[in-house]
Amino acid sequence: MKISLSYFMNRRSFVPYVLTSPLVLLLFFITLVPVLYSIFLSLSYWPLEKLREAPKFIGFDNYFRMLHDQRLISSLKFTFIFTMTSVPIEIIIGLLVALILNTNFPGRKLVRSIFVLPLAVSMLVTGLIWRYIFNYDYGLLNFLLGVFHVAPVPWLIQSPWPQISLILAEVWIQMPFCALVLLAGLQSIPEELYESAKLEGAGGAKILRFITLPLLKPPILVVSLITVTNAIRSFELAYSITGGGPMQSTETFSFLAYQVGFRYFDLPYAASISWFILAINLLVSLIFMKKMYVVEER
Amino acid sequence: MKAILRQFFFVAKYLILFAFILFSLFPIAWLVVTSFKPESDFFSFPPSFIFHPTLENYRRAIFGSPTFFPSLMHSFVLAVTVTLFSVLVGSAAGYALARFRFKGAKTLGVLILLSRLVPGAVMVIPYFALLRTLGLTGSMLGLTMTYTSFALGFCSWMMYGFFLELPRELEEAALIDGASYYGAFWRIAFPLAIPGITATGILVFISSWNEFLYALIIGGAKTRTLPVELASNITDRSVNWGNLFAIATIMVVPIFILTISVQRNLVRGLTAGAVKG
Repeated sequence: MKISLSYFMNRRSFVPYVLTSPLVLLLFFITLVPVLYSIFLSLSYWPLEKLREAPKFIGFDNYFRMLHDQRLISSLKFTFIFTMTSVPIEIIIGLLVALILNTNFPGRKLVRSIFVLPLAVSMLVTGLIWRYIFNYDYGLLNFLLGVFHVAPVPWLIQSPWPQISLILAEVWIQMPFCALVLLAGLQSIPEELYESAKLEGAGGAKILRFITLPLLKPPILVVSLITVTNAIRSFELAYSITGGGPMQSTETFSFLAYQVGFRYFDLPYAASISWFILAINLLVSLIFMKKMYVVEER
Repeated sequence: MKAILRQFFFVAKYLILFAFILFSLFPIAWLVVTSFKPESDFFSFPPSFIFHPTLENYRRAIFGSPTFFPSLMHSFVLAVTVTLFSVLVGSAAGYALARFRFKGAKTLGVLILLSRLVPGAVMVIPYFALLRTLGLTGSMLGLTMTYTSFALGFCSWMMYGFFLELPRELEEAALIDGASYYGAFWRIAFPLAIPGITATGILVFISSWNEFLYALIIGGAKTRTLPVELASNITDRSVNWGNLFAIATIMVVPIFILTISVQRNLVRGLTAGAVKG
């Protein structure tokens, strides 16, 4: 038998390796290398004046610096509040919408298609639209408030309103996603469960509490994981709606990393902030994934 | 009494639904409508609902800015390239994972999942620093590589799911008839998975089209994309609302059309099979 390259390529055991090699190569070079480089960067000292030279290794100093950085601590606080407020609201409203969408009514498919649309808009554009709507002088929200004889709200000007504006915008963006995923989860609950519950005389609230919600645990966990990690990484909203202001009160963590890295050109410090965000994200993801496995094993 | 309660719930249900549709749709509708307003109307209070529609914002954004057409071109070329590349590589890998059992398959699967968790604002700085060392900042190649690295994990995972659903019989028949494994993949499985491939491809296209942060930092003057062009209308001193809304509408409308055409598979892609059904 002729032994040639094509012979090896066609052997059954080799085919998968050939097929996956482009992926592995690309992932290795384009993902692994930046990760390693960023670890190195976060451990070095590379000020703007010395940009032409190589960065100098200084160990964990950047990380220690983070512990005392007031601006960083307050951005951490804000990101935390931002996440812990927007996520529950998104999920609860999403659940409500999903429950309604799960019933049969005319135009249901159309409504579902409409709900998909906010997902397609880029966060930057969303931020800009909301910036316009939140404007104190000519924004739509204050106009609507005026119609109901409510005083105009300084949405982007005075705390705590800028923070609330960002949370509102985030809820707007993520809620349709939650609704759609929860709807998919609702639709995979077998009809028989509802029927037998009704036969035993259970009312709507009981059905919700004992059948629907427990069975929705996996999708709720999935949705929570995705929305939480999205909120922690949030950058575009802070960039386009408030620019981190007023007075740096709405700087999300990623936004701060951007400022440090590209306004102050302190790349190593920005890298260490990025790693901190990544660490938090990984931790959160692991916690959620553990919860999901527990549910599946049951 | 029960009948009244039921009617109440019926109406309430529709009202809530209507409220949420309005809530979700209104900002976008407002964007499109406002983009046709003359700039002076942007700052009118109360906001004018009746106005003379005009194309002046579009004229200024498209023809007044020398960087608009290049940005449009770059965004389009970038999105198409990234989509084609990631879908092809991802399909190959997804097929291998779906059809073969081989050493390292599990590890690869975990790595792909991990790569989905990582991207985002977190990695901009390392990407920037790395590409700078390679001299690839401000180049289409650099941006393409970056976007592809994000899309690959997603594509592989999606295609893995789609290929799993295809019955093996057709490929097996082809193999018996003498096709190579690659032939079975390329000529049988791949064409059959076109719906999944299209859905995946469109999702990748949309992310690439909308992507802002990396385009801003890694892209340069010569590789400006639409989102960056959009953001250039916000400066520290002023905001150029008219241009902003025109460009934003131009960015959003094609994506809408694409999204509606793929919405059925969208949920599956977003949850990567974590939700059954």
